Parts: sequence; C-alpha cells; structure tokens
Amino acid sequence: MGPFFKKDLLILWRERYDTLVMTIIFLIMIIILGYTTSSWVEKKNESLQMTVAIVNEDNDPSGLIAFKNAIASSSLTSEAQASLGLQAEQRLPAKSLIQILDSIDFVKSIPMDQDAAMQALKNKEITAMINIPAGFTLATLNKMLLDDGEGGSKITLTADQRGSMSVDVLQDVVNEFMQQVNLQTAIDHALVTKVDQYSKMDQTLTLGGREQIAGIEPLGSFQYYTFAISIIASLILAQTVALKAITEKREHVFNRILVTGSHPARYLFGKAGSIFCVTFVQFALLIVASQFIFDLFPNRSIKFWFGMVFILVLYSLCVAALTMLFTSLTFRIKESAATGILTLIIMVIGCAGGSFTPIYILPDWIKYVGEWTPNGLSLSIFISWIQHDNLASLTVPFLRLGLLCIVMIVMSSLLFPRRGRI
Amino acid sequence: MFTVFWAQWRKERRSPFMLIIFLSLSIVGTVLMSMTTNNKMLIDVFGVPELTTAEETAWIQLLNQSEAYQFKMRAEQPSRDAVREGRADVAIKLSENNYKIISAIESPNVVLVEQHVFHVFAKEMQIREASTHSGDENQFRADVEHNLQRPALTLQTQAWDGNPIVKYDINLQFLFGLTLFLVIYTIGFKVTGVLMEKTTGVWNRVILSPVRKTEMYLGHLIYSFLIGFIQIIIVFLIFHYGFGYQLMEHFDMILVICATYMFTMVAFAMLLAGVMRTPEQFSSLLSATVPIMPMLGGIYVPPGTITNKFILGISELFPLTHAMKALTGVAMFNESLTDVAMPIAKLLFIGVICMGVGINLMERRKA
Repeated sequence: MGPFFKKDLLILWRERYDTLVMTIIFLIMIIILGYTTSSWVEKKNESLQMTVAIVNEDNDPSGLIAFKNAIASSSLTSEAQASLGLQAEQRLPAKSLIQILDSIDFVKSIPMDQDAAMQALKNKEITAMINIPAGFTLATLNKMLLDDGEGGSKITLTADQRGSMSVDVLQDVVNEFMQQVNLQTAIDHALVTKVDQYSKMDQTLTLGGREQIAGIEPLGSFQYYTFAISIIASLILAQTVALKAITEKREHVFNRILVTGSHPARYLFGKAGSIFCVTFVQFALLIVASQFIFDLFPNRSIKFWFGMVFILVLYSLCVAALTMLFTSLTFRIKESAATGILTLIIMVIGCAGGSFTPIYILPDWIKYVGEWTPNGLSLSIFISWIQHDNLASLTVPFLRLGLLCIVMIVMSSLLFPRRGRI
Repeated sequence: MFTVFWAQWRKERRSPFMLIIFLSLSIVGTVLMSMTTNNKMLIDVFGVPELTTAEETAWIQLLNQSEAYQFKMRAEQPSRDAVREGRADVAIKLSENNYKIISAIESPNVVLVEQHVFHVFAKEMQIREASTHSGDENQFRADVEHNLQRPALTLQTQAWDGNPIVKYDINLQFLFGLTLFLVIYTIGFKVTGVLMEKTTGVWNRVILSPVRKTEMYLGHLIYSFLIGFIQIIIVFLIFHYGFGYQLMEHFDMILVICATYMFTMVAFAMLLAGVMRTPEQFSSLLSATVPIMPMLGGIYVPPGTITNKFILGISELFPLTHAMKALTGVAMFNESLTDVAMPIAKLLFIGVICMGVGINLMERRKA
C-alpha cells in the first residue's frame, strides 16, 4: 500500500495549486454565505425594515366628541354614559392601531397626505400606505360599544403590486389588531349581561414566551457554513480523486500495476489513505482559517478542540471510504458514464444531506434519508458537538457513521474487479 | 452540423441508460424537493404530561386553522432534538391554558410562528374566559361566531393601481429554482461530450472530415441544449398536470425564457470546458461551482432577504439569477415580454461572452 499511497499523494501534490485555489474559493464562499445569512438571521428583522405612511382622513377627537354627543342624547343612564365615554377614550381605534405600529421596532410610521403617500409609494420610498377613512372613529365606536349599524369600517392598505415579505408582515400586524378588536366586540355583544369583571389583559399577558433550549449556544451562521461548505469541499475532493482513477484506467496505469504482481486492493487502499490525509488537511485548514478570520469558536476548551479533531478523523475516514466506493465504481462502469454517475451521486447526496440545498426546504422523508448520507450525518455530528460539547450523546451518530463507513468499504471491495477480471 | 447532432443521438440510442438515469433522477429530484409537505411549514407540538390527549387535539385543531403552518403532535424529546440540531426552527410546548415557543435560533420564521400561535391562544383564552360569565357556553360561542360575521373593522389590501396585491408564491420560486439548478448538471454531463471526444481523439478525426468546426460545435451544443430543454419541459408539465401549478397560462413565455437560459448555461458549461483539460476536471469544477449559484442567487430564501450589495453584485453574474427574475415575473406577476426583456438580454449577453471565451480557450489549447 505504501508506494500507492505515495503515488496518489504525489499526484495530488502535483496539482497542489488547483487544490489550494479550490480551498480558497471555498473559504470565500464561507465568508460570503456566513456574512449574508448572519446579516438576516442574527440581526433578525433588518430585512423587514419598513416605513409606512398613515393617511388619516378622520379626526379622532372630533369623532370622539360626536360619539359622546350621540350617547348623551340617547336614553342611557348617566352612569352608563360615563362608562361608555371612558371606554371610547381608552379604545380609540385609529390611535391604538398607530400605537401598535409604532411599538414594533422594524416599522416606522409617518403621517402623510394621500397624494404625497401615493407618490412615495410609487417611488418605493415607503413600503405601504394605510388609509383611515373619514368618519372612521365614530362608525367604529358605534359598532364596538353600541353594536350600532352593520359596522364594517374599512381600513385600506395599499402597497406595491408585487407582494413582499414586509407587506405580508405588515398585513399580519394590522389584521391581528383588527381581529383583536373584532373579537372583543363580538364577545361584548354576545354576553347577555354586561360583565366588566373579567379583564382580557390578565390572560394574554402571561401567554406564551420563548424557551431557548437549555445549555445550547445558538449556532452562528459562520459556524454553520464553515462546516457545511467544508463538507462540500471534501465531497468534491473525493470525486476528483476517484475520477483520477479514470485517467489511470484510460492510460493503462492500473493494468501495469497489476502486472507487477501487486494486489489490486493495495491500489484501492492507497487511494483511501491519500484522500484521508488530504481531506483532513483541507478541512483543518478551512476550520483554522475561519477561526482566525472570524474567531469562529471563542473561548472553547482544549477538550472541545480534541473532540473536533476526533470527529474530523472519523469524517476523513468516511470520505476515504466514499472515495474507495467511487473508485470501484469507476472501474465497473464505462469510462464515458463514470463521470456522469459520480456527478450524479454527488448531486443526490449533496441535495439530500443538505449540503447543496438548505434542509428546511426539503420534505421530511428526504431529511430523514439525508441523515444517512455521509455528508448529512457528519454535519449533524459536527453541529451537535459545537452545541453540546458532550461526546456521550454522540455515541449513536458515531456508530451510524462507522456503520456507513463499513458498508461503503464492503461495497467497494465487492464492486472492485477481482484479479484477472479487469 | 446535423451529422454531428445525429451522431450524438445515435450514440445515446445505443446506450441510453446513462441519459435516462440522469434525466429521471433530476426530474424526480426536482419534483420531490419542490413538493414540501403540502406547501405548509410543519411544526412539532408536544404537551406537558398533565395535559390530556383531548385537550392537545383541541389545541392542534385550533392551531391548524392556518394557511401557512401545519401543526403535528410529536413526543417531547424528538421535537426538542429537531430544534436543537437545526432541523426545525421551532417547536411548541403546550401546557394547560398556555404554551411556550421552543427555539434555538432567531429567524423570521420563528417570529411569524410565534405571532400565529399567540393569536390563536389569545383568542381562545379570551372566549373561554368570557364564556364562564355567560350562562350557556355553546350558545355563547355561537353568538360570538355570529357577531364575528359582522366585524367592526375590516382590512382591504390593494396595489396602488387598485388591483389586488399578488401574493408571492415561494413554492413556485423553489420549483423554478430547483429545476434550473438541477438541469445544469444534465447540461454539464452532455457538454463533457466535447472534452470526451477530444481526449479519445475522435475530435481530431472529425476535423479531418469535411465537417466544419462550427458545425462540430453547433452539433454538440444544440444536442446538449435540447436535452436540457426537454428535461425542463418535462418537469414543468409534471407540475402543471400532476400538482396543479398553473404554468400553462404563460407557457410560451416560460419556454422562451428557459430556452434563453439553456443557451446561456450551455455557453457557461462551454466556458468551464474551455478552462479544464479533461472531462474529469470539468466535472469537479462543475460540482464545485454550481451549488453556489442558487445560494447566492437567493433561490432558497424569500425575495428581498439578501440585502448585501456585494452578494447582489456577484449574483448578477449568474445566469440562474436572471432566469429566475424573468420566470417569476412572468408566472407570478403576468409580466409581458417587454417587462422581462432586461433579464433576457442579460442572459444572452452572459451566454455570448461565455461561449466566445470558452470556444476560444478550447481552440487555443492543442486538441
């Protein structure tokens, strides 16, 4: 195996610049992808940032006064009148809506008149315009508090004809506010006896909340992409090495090796050994470079780094096994088809394992299959090591990875041509 | 030209398996990846032990009254693991009259899910609370529902020209993106034919024949073009007839855009082939460069998510970005040919440059 190992290393060394350039390309990809996603995941709502024009054609105070005048002239007791007046003041619909919009940190609302807002909308200076029609306050208060009229005060939200995420979110916010008001109104009028004792706020204040998963560092996007991309890099390296076998087949290198009396398996293991070393070095280089460029893992213990090296060794073994399988395949299929088949395999495991496509767009069962691809499985091992720092919890994935390696090695030795059958 | 073309075809007919495998896998791949679970985001829900199954089911039913999400009961541990390992953005823990959002990262999705769940709970809790004050709970619920039919406030959304706002269909984006992405591999696989002929010496022998160089290139490239084009058409037909995507309305335009894209991608593959010497090197380069395109082109994220100028600049270089812009414009926003003239022109421009440089590189090197 020794001489073959040396031969493959030398072949790779001959193309060290190509490999280096590739590695640098991958590093640039990590920088670009990490940088893009960190700007929209970590600074959460930046991409939703929007300005909304409020075109208020109604006048809240005069609407309120009109409402109070209306109840004053009604047949209600003065006590009920006072209570309704107070409620009306507290629940002014237009004011509440604007308050809600202003309380959201990525929405900026500015009052404008109709024409200016329309112009700004066409110039894409604002995301949307919200029209509050004349007579809105009076009509809404009448409906809300007195169940008077068919209701249906209509607020208009105008935006660019191409929907966008910002418009969707804004629509959700406004809708939520309206449904809240509508529900409250519906409940108020459904209760036969007016009960004031229940307070809606008590319930909703304690509702919900987040539970960040205990002891877990949220995975940074640079951390994620360093590993995701490095895994792609080694997959492609494995493909490159295996494809060299085609050249060796074409140029009868392999036949000459057989003539020397060497066992063909030694040729195979030579390839595996060399790819093991190169994968390890390339992956380590990418991690170390990322560590220096973006301070990937600040303040991690020495134990963490040893664990990382250990996982990396296992991963490199896995890539070596994959390369063996690839090499055997190239000997089994026609030269013209081999390139295609390997590209296809890389494409399939790359997509299913979430290396080429983000996992979240994949259907569940593909995600499940993806956990059995060498790249998908390794990525999840790396991620959980970064997040847990606990080798014991990784026993099962390690066993799976080992099983995968063994299966690939066995398959490649079964596929590899026997003596005299090449 | 046609002799070269038919030669390719005949070669294919003699051993069609490779092409069939390639086409069927890319097609199946596109189809499988694009039909993400009824187009709804799947969210795991688990309850605290005190919660009865009936209560859990009731909450799930309420939560599932949503177009965007599908909530599903799952055991606690796998739900938490999924969130922890990044396979899911959120999970939801139900307790009596309350819930908790379980998340490991902060993403727009988490915020949206939280809003939805909060809303459902707030509404239900409010009704429950109020119904204790009413005599007859069922009657009360019916009354509330009845009153909600005549709401106090309604929202009307419209575009500034008075038409409805077109809701952005992210699934259509995935479909187009994945189709255009996976077809690159098929094209690459076919364009290697040129390199393959060069390494085996067939190319030189054809040069000696009366066939002209231009015809040799055209024969190969048109063949690759057609194979890729057929793949795209099959995928779109499957989605139109099998999965109810409405693509037929603008099918002619979609075909025009796809044909332009195919030309550009064939040219791009030609450029890669010009840079590389052997078919093997070509495949490695292709595998390495192709996955970057959809990532930077923003295929996997909602539009407008990528705001970085630098990335936007780089993605301008990729044919995929322009083809996507044209396809989504036509299929979603009913744009006319003049509206998408710009992306198509850019595609053609990239194609011409790539083809020119690619063939030049190829000719300059000793075949």
